[in-house]
Amino acid sequence: MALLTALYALQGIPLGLATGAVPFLVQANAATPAAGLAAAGGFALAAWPYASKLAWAPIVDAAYPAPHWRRRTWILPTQALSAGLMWCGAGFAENALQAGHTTALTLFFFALVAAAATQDIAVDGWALTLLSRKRVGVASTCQTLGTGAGAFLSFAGLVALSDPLFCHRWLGTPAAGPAAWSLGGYLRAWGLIYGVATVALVFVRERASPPPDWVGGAGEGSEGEEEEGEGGGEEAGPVARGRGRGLGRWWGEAAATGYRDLARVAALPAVRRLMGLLLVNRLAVLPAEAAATLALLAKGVPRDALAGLAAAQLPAEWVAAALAGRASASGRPGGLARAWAAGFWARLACAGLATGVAVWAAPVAKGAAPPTALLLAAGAGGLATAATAALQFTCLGALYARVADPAQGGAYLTLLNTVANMGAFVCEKGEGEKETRGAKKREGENGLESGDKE
Amino acid sequence: MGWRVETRNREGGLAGTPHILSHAIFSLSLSLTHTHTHTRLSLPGYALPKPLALAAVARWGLGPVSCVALAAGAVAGAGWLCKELGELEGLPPSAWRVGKGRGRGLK
Repeated sequence: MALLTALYALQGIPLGLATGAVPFLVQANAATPAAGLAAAGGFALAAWPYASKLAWAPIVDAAYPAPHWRRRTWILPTQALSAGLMWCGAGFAENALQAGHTTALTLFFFALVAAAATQDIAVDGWALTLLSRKRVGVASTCQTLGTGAGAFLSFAGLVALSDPLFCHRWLGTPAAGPAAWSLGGYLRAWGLIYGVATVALVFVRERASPPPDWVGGAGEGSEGEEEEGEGGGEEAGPVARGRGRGLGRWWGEAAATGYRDLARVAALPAVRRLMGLLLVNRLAVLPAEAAATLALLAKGVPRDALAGLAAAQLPAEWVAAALAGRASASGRPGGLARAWAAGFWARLACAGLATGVAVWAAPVAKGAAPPTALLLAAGAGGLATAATAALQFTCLGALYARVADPAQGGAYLTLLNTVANMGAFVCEKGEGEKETRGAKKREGENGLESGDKE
Repeated sequence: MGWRVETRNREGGLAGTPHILSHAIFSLSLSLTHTHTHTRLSLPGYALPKPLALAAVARWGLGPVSCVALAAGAVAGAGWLCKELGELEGLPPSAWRVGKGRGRGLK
């Protein structure tokens, strides 16, 4: 579990940078608010590989040289690539940020996110064999804890430590001095940590996982013919087998079969039902969760107050993820569904509370402190929403891990995660607030003020 | 004043090309303008529900849209969603697998 959580946390670092801190810094460094918005909008392309990883997930599942290296075949090179990019490209990224070269910065982070997305596929697949079948649902808890921590460090952590005012106030740096950390320094530090973690991972023992059906001649006609246990992959992996008959032909076979098997999984009635549920289960709370914060900002609640409340959400998410992990590990029939349903009803209630607060709260006069009751209501609603969302997410992740076939685990989990993301909006962390902040700056420049604030 | 939804490509110009193609290939930006709010969101290229929810809020207001959505969610939750997940969790493992995977690693 510790290994899984650490791997997910490492993955959260570039994701937190690409979807949180760097768009924020790009916007802050722009000459004008409008240019900042354009730059941040263009930079959003850097997160695209994460949204599109399903495209190459079957290849990550299929290509490996030996069963005991199946997942590390992908994790080690992608982490080494990330380490190299962060260590060697730190200066380049810092210069591009300072000079406003958004295209160069986008390409740099596009490569980092592509490596993180590939690592994610392999780690998802590894989780299914790293944990026992009884405890495999806990992988989702590790994912919530690890990715959340990594993304938080890279978003809130870097944004705070790169702000001279914050560093002066909380870390005692000189008033007119530089911030404690820059993007370049942060990247270099994580490049080093990535490198150390990658070397350590070489010595971790990987249990052989079952190979894809087509390895060893089992193919289309193998359905239901053979019951193979966990140790089914003791022979050479597909790459080794493919050497004798040409790597090109092997690649074609691996790719074709991987994609075909994924299509067969997507066509299963159970998977279709689950995908239907994933597409609609968040629609009820979307308006409130997407617009309540914006409405409060428009009513004059200071951004700092809301940001402070948001900082407390991470521990709430961790507690909820731990609860979901407990429900999963208990093994009680229907336990996950009951925990998810409890989260569903609680989340509906939170959305109702958020809507009520946002709609009926009196506008805050410009420069005045918001009423304590309003802050408490907004804070409690935000915390409860974050916790219930984490609970539902972790319960669903535990269900994916339980039902997925370890032989095609990476692609299987990526398919379900991608469909779940389609039901809402990926890469959203901080995006709405960031964009609104820029837009409000622009309104201020144009002499526009919120009617309620006036 | 009023509301307006604009779909822009990532260069900032109004998208004149087929939107579906743009959605498939590029990250897009959606701008929403309302009397009191103006927000701009970057999309990963395929996820639309949240921006559409925001567009509905910009058109009809947060209160009415959220109340309708929550009521629909409560009906769906009571009648279908929660029961559906319970049934899915109770399905036999073979219902989720294809090929040799139907018997693999399962008790």
